[in-house]
Amino acid sequence: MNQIWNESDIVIVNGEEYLNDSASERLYQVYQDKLNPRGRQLYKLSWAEKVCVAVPRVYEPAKKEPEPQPLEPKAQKQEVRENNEVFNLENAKKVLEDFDKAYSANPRLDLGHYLLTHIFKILDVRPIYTIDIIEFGEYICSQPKYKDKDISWSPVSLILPQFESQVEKIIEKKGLEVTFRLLLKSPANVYDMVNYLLEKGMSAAEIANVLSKFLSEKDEEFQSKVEDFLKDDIETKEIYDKLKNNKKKPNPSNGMSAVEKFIIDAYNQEAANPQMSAEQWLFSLLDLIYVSFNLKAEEVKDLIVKNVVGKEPLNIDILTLSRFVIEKDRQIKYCEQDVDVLIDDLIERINEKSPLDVSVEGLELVHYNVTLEKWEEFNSKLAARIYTDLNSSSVVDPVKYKKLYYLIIASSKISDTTLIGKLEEKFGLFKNELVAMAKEALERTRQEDPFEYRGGEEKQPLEALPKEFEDDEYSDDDEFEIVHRRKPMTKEGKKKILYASIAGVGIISTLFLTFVQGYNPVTVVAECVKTFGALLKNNATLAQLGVKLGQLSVYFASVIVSFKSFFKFADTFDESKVNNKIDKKEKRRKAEPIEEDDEEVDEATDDDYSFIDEDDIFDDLDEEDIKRVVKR
Amino acid sequence: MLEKGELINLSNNKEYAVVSSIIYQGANYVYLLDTDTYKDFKFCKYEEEKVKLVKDEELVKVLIAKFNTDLKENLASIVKDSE
Repeated sequence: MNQIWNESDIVIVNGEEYLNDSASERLYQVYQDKLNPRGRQLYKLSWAEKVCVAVPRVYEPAKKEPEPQPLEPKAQKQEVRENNEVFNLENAKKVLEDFDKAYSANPRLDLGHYLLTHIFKILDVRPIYTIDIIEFGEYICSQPKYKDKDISWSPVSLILPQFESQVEKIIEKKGLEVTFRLLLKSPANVYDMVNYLLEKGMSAAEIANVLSKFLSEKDEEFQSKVEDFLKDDIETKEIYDKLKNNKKKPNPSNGMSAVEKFIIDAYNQEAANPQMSAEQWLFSLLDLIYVSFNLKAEEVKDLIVKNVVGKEPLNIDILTLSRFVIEKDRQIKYCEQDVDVLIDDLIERINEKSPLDVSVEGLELVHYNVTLEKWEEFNSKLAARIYTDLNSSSVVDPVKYKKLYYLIIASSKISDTTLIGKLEEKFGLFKNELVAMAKEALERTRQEDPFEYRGGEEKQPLEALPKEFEDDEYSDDDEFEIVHRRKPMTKEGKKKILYASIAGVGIISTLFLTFVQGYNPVTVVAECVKTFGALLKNNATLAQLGVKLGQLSVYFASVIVSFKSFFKFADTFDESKVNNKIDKKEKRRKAEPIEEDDEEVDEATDDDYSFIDEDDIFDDLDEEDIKRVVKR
Repeated sequence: MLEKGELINLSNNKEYAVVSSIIYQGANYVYLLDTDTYKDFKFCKYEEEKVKLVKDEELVKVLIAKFNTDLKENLASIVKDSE
């Protein structure tokens, strides 16, 4: 495969002589009887044919006179082969079977080289077949048995040098979307491709639609390439704007408006070769229309009703259409909406029946319908609003905290959201969020059974939250003498070890996930509660531990709070570090008033919790409390 | 060496359970948890009937990872023992 040809070497392909031209990276078939700059008629071959040549041979003058060649011998030959020996997946698979046999005899055989040599040699593949070759390449890659083999042959790489001349054929045969996909698999540049297609007179709306499809692709490679294209540089933005602004106005004076023609064309195309369900097609059509034309939803609806509703074979019904138009219209409005309005709308939704689902859905709706820049702005403002609300709450408002808690949890369910990251980065240890979370958990428990909770006496959520560790629990002493040690022999002693082991697993897991691995503490607490709930379920002995530990989410929240103390404790490791931190904190206080706010919240929280007796938390709870937690 | 499953009383007048005990770089490190609230945890180095709090932050991270592995591996047997 890495054969080097010298300038003017003659190489042999299928028994015919070719001249190598390393300057142009081409092979030229030699026809001795025709004049050319080198005294020979040269027939340009593709790069693909060049790489299939196994052995170059230094030219030796032919011993016999060559047969006169026809003027266009290659074209004639190709025509014959096209008729008799078409490349398809089936005969390519036979080549693979041959390879398997050869490979068992010689494991050093290279699959890529073998395929190239044999497929090209046997089938005389011309660029017209490149798309079939790509399908074949994808077939090979999907076969587990070839996965470990060194496939040095990339099917896509074969078409790149000749892509330009083939692009229209490929678009014609496979459509614009497939063509884009081929390009995106290669190092090709989306920017160049879009420009090229625009120059070729492709519809900007169609290009924009394909790009928007890629944005919602699961394939991250596609998605990131297109996203990069959309956001990377000014030139790219100009092209994207060109795409977006290339909106064709309907022209009613033509009898049929441009948008009607567009709808009918799209319908006929899909009806002739349906690729999607009627609903999918309709949604895709609406996307196209909204990208391409400045029309109101009702106008679009009327035109679709007039031209395609009820027609065979897609049978779009008017109810489906109305639903889609309304949904699409709502999405469009979201795109154009101010970020603050979107946040208000989201918070409004959270007051509905299933706040968690609603907030997840609400965030997703925003996420998938606004630009990346707007999503960033949305996240940033939402984080700021949550923070402000939490800090400005001198009086506990459970409804407000519930809202905010669900927002935080919901945002963590969207994998690429930056909200949690921003909160962490800005506000440190998540103390406030945890306070809200613990309050919420208790609030929910009380709502489920408000009269039985704590003997029927309704308490404020704040009371139930565990206080932080007292400072003296992490005293400055760093060395303790062991006064007494023993292996527990009594039932009580063994129980202590058991409880400590179970609680110890929870604590160490929490620390490991947050402190060592950097996970979001809110998520960690939720997971710990879930895991321990499952662990304690149906186990009478361990349920007693649950009674002792009290409400699990509160317990783990308290571990996280103590985790903060642990950091304080950790900070005392190095005196110079402490001093340094104090200095920095002082400086921050002067520079950033927000730190003072944070401090105020700390103080307020400490005061609020200072009257809580821990025994109240643990001893007053019974098995019913544990069951509630386990149920959740 | 302090062993997992021992109960110890320290000079701060508290009782702790040895939740985990490992040997790391030739020293015996223990993970202690108080048996009253089950919240006061300590990572200590055991030496001559004394436990010394580990001060090095990086070492604490290493110990957390090791204790975590140790306890995960033994959780099943702890639960089994309780049944």
